[in-house]
Amino acid sequence: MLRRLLPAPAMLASIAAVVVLPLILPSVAMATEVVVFIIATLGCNLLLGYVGLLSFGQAISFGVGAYACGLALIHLHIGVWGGLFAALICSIIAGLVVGALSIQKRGIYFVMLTFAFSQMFYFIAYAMAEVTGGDNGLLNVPRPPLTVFGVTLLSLGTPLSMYCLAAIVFLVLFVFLHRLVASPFGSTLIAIRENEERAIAVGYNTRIFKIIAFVISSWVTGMAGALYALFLNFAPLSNIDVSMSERIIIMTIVGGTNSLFGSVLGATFYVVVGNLLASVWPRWLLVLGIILIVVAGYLRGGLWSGVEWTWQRLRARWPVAGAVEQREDRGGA
Amino acid sequence: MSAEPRTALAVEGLTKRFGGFAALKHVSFAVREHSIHSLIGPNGAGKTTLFNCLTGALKPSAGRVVFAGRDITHLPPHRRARIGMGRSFQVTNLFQNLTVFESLRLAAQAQTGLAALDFVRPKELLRRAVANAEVVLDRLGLGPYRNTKAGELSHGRQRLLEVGLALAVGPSLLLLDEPTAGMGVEDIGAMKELIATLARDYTIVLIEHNMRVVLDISDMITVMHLGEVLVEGRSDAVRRDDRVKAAYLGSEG
Amino acid sequence: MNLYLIQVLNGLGIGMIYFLIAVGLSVIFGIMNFVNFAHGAFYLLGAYLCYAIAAATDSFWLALAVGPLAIGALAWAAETRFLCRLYRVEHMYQILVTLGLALVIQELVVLIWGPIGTHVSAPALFRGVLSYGDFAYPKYRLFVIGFSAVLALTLWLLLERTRYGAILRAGTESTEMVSLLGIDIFRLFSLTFALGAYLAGLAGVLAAPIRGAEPFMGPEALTIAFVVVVIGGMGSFAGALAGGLLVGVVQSVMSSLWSEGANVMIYVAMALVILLRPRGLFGRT
Repeated sequence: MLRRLLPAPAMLASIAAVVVLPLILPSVAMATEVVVFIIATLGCNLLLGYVGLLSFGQAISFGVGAYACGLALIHLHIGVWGGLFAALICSIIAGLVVGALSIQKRGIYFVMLTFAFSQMFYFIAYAMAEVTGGDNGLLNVPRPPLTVFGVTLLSLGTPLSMYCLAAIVFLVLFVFLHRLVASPFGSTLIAIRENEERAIAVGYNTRIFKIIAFVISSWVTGMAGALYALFLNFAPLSNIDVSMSERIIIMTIVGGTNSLFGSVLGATFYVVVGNLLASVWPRWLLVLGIILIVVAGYLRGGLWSGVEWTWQRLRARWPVAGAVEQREDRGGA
Repeated sequence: MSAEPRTALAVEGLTKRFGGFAALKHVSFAVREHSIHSLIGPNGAGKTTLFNCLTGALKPSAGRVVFAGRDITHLPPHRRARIGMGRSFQVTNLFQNLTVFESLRLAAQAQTGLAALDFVRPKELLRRAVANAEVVLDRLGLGPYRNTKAGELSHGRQRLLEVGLALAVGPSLLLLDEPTAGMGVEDIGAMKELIATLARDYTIVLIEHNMRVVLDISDMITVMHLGEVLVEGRSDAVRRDDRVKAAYLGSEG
Repeated sequence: MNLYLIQVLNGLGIGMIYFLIAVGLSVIFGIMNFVNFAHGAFYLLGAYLCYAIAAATDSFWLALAVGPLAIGALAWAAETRFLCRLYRVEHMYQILVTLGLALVIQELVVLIWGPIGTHVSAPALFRGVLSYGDFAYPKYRLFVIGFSAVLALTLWLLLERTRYGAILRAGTESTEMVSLLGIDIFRLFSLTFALGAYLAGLAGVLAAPIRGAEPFMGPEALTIAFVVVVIGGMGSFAGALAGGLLVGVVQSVMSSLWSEGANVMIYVAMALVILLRPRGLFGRT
């Protein structure tokens, strides 16, 4: 009961992160980019960390969300709500189609299937150049003010205003996912990850659960895509390229798949280090490559496990706020 | 104790072919409610294949499986748990990283239908699942281990949890696949007692290799050999049957 | 008609190259259950080593002989040093590590040779075209087809007639059995990984005079290799060959008819194979 009044440490940390990011990063624009990819990474983390499904389909949802939002704003002249809603509908449909088909297979076949779909969507987007702009991307995506019944909530004209929109979407989705993983539905996803055969034996229709998880993941990543289109005023073809999926997967694993907050760490790390290093040394990907090898080799829990380890060490030395941790521990599996 | 005991599970003419090889040939038997019915036989007799047909892991080539009067031959495995068939695995197949309590809670939660799809409320608030898990936890005597990860339990307690996951499903029929596999002598005794007491409330179908356990607690024994039913009867009858002896001594069983 | 024949020949040539890339990836996965996202980087290195050695020594043949060997050695070193620790680990970490390795190799290539691709000339012996009436076709491409065919035959003989080949084939069915027979399974893995990398590097050397050498050609090779492996069947030599040729020819013919559709079709085919016949053309279940 106390949990509902006092948000768990991860919740507090994410609110803190969102407040702090624009202050410590060199630009608000970079902070917005970070938040966009945090959201995308959360979508991937739900599937990878909680259901145990490695999907290369993140780019599909990210790209579809970006295109849907952009096209809705350009052609339908509906406001930001409309753009976000269009992204919601389209990414859910894409997630449903790709998910329902991909889930028919397991293991490496599932992974390869999502890979095939990702490439399919890429080449379709490339071919439909009249709609998507093809190689040039979807240009001139407008960014009208965010209004409710005529009252302007956010002008979205300034970088900070745009950041606020991204931050709010992030917080809403984070709370949603945080509750989801602690819910009966979430516990079933974890059971499927741990031992799908046993989950079936005790009575779960694991296919349905996996498809729903896939759709939710697709929706979340689609929202990130929509925000990205608003942020850039542009939806490039690279959004839907399989390398975008790879990028998001890297952020997810580097951040840590044992906790939702790992996504915050992973995306922040990738975007910030990428931007900072890239301006200093164009070959920063070399460093990323080495980091990937080290993380997968030695720090499998990602940055989050590093944080947890530090946290445990600190707790052992200074047993303060013990009650908060106890609740957090019991809430876990 | 009442009138005519009912048939909980009936197997009729069950046949399973893998290519040219017939693993099961027209197997038929009936399991009485609240009885312990054991399936025994040397290796290769077809027990596992039969068990897989009962749990839905395999589709038979011919024949029927009837549960509580309902033809379930083609029912998918997850539906069988929902209509009252709980099963345990021969090779321990638990949620290694989840605690004992959470494992049981999950099994109980699967029976709550749409409530398992709730993605808003904390899982602890699904009281039915929590309560059922507590009951099973008690019955197994695993209370002190409720927060231990399944993978960290001793082998004997893991086998108990195996049975527990079948129980938590709230079944009327328990299908237990070699529950005493790999257990030490004391643990076997405890398992034997547990199964015997469970028969008061459940119908139990048992595959077992441990003859002492089988002969002690079974109400009915079906002996299989080379895919067919060889002999069926009570413990003393089966123990003395020459054909059974021949089957076990003749093959590498 | 001539155009059609040219497309088919192009397809055969590129298909053989796909086969060389895919066969290594397929066998590596079939035996070691290891998903190798660095495989495209071996191909990339092959193309660049071809360029570098040919530029330095003016001999394509030296590049063909030495380049892939160097890549095989590099792969052996990487496998024995740290990749071997990942065989028991979940696929996602294997992907992450090999992706990292691919990135490192790619960025090193850019550091050494610059971000813009280069052209690589065919060996003097096979420059120009072969004419037959009014039909002309580049000699080098014919060489690639012929050389790869011989190579495929050699590999087949290796698989079917040598002890190593027998062990390899047994290994794709069960590594447990192989190790129980007393064979050093880790040596087998290292050798197989190195051989796969060698073949991918060879494919890169062969492809360089046709496609040039360009730092970002690795991912493209990798994705096509995945398609070929899936369609042909994981762990199967015949599958890699049949799959490679099929994809190569179809892609080549389709690209002159409907080029955007060609690419979509390939991945639709890949998805259909996984959904309807996961073991592909020649794979085992």
